[in-house]
Amino acid sequence: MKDLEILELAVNSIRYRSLRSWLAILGVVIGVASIISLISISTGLQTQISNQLGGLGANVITITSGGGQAQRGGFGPPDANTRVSKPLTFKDADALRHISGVDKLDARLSGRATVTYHNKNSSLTVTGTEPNAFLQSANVQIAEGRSLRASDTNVAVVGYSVINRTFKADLLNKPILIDGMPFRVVGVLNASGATFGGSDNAVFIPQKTAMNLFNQTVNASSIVIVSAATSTPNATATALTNELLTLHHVTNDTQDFTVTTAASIQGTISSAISSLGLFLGIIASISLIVGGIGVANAMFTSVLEQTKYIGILKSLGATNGEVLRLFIFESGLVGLVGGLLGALLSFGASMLISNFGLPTQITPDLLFIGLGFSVIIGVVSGVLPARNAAMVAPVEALRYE
Amino acid sequence: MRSAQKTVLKMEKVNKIYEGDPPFQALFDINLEIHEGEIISIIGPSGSGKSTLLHLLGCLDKPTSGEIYVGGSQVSKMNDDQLAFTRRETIGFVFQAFNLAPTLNVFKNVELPLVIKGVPPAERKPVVDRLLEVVGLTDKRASMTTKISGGQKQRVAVARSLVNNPKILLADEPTGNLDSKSSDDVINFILKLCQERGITVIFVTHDPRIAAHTERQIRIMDGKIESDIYSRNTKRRDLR
Ligand SMILES: Nc1ncnc2c1ncn2[C@@H]1O[C@H](COP(=O)(O)OP(=O)(O)O)[C@@H](O)[C@H]1O
Ligand SMILES: [Mg+2]
Repeated sequence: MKDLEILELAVNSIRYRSLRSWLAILGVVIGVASIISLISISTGLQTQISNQLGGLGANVITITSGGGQAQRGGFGPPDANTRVSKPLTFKDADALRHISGVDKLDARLSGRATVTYHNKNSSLTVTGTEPNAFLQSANVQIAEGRSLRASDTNVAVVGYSVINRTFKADLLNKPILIDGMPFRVVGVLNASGATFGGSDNAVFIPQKTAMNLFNQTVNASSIVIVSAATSTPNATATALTNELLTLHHVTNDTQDFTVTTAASIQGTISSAISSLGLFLGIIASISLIVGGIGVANAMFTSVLEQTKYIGILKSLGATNGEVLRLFIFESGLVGLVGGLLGALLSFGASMLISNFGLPTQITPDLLFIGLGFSVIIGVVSGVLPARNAAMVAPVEALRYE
Repeated sequence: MRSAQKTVLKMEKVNKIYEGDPPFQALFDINLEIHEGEIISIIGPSGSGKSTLLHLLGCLDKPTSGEIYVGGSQVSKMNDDQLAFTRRETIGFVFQAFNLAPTLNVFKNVELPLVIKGVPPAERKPVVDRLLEVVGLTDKRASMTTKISGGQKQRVAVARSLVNNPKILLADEPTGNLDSKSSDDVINFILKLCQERGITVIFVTHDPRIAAHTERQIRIMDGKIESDIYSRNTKRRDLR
């Protein structure tokens, strides 16, 4: 008998299955639905977070002072050689400016400051930035007005929320006070929407002016580098790290600064979400295995119900192998049908989960994996009953009522 | 001259003991030789071992001891697959309980042995159609077998048993569940088709009217052959 014809017989058997054996595939339906919808949560989170991290800019590298665990790639205990946190300096920044792979460099000086408009005060982060690097290093766009210029002194560019939430007033071209020093707002930024590294609540002023404002001309808060298109962010980050290690006379182990790329942050968060996905996947797999036991049970029932039919097939000359394949195909098909129903159900379930605020995303891959899983579970759980079916002696099978 | 005829089935000192508690011996030292084209009836009381004998001849079961030859091949030397091939190539069965596949319609039931044999679909259809016509079921071809009468079921079974052109047809009380009109039809179809094709037929039956239409009657009693008679004046024509 050809496999295709055995498959046709299997389809026929399934069409006439008893309700009881159909009920048992509910296990697979639920198993597949839970696998797909649980994994869709972690996929959804992944997507949401990488959207939010988009605010960092893929080719932007940030250097801050203090030893970085990100560089050591672990969560081990801190080194015994206590790291006296040596601040980053504007001198450091100047030394890094000419390293190959650096397109733009922005030595920033920021701090909290009281911003006053009319009679309203608000404590905001004020960042002194180098005007020629600003738009790229902060990965922002101007919505209204203009950006900072090299010749600017007491002017500010403000984030979207500063206008729309904090002061609820159109500040463009209006005077404000920052810690009592007068400034004029020349530009407003587009909303970034990003949760991490966002600029929506920030006020940007020229670096030189910030040095006066904060009375600090030596130490920088952070150095932000835009990596050149001719290099990769990782290669540039490595070059920067090596240069700073030399400048600070430290080694990898005593490193007193941290170099972060958008990719490295994303990597850390992604791997945390992946672990969550794995955990959810394991839970869902358990329910699928329980579903598999259900299919096996259904197949035992089905084999029993079809004992006479097995006898008939054998009396007509079907071999043990052909009967075996017939039942394996049958259970594989049951798995497939259960998987399809489960996939449908998972769409409903993930919509429900979204309503509770967790992002979900069902990708074609995920559907494919869910279906593949359910077919495999069907086949595997059908093997034992199918073997039983194949080994029945023809007379015994025929005698069965 | 019987001895000149080709032997298609042969039993040598065949014993069958059903395992169980207690074990039960259903056949004792059976010797039997059946020739090509013979029409035979096996008669005997219920429980005498007729079905057991037929199952052994049809390779559905294995003897406890002794040797069986089907078309010259030694059954005890065959593995499960070879037994299956022997059933599909050389033997047709008709059972008292019809044994039709409940999930298949009339056409597909008759077609099933050809499917199992691996005959391509295009070649199957004309053969099945012709047999359905002969047994008068052309108009029922698409019916499910649960929706037709007993007589019609057994005609489906007859068509199915012959669709592969077997050398031997084994019929175990084929009319046991039928009224007399349907019984006559079924027997007539079997006799007509098998005589046309030179197929050896073995009927297991209680019905003396069927036995009267066979040229050889084997009587079984308590697992032994009590008599094996060739009747000269067999009415080799339709029952009516
Ligand atoms: N599978 C079996 N296990 C035990 N005993 C059996 C089995 N099949 C048949 N028998 C016994 O063997 C004897 C012959 O059975 P069978 O060949 O079916 O008789 P018949 O067809 O002549 O009525 C009966 O006594 C029956 O009870
Ligand atoms: Mg019997």
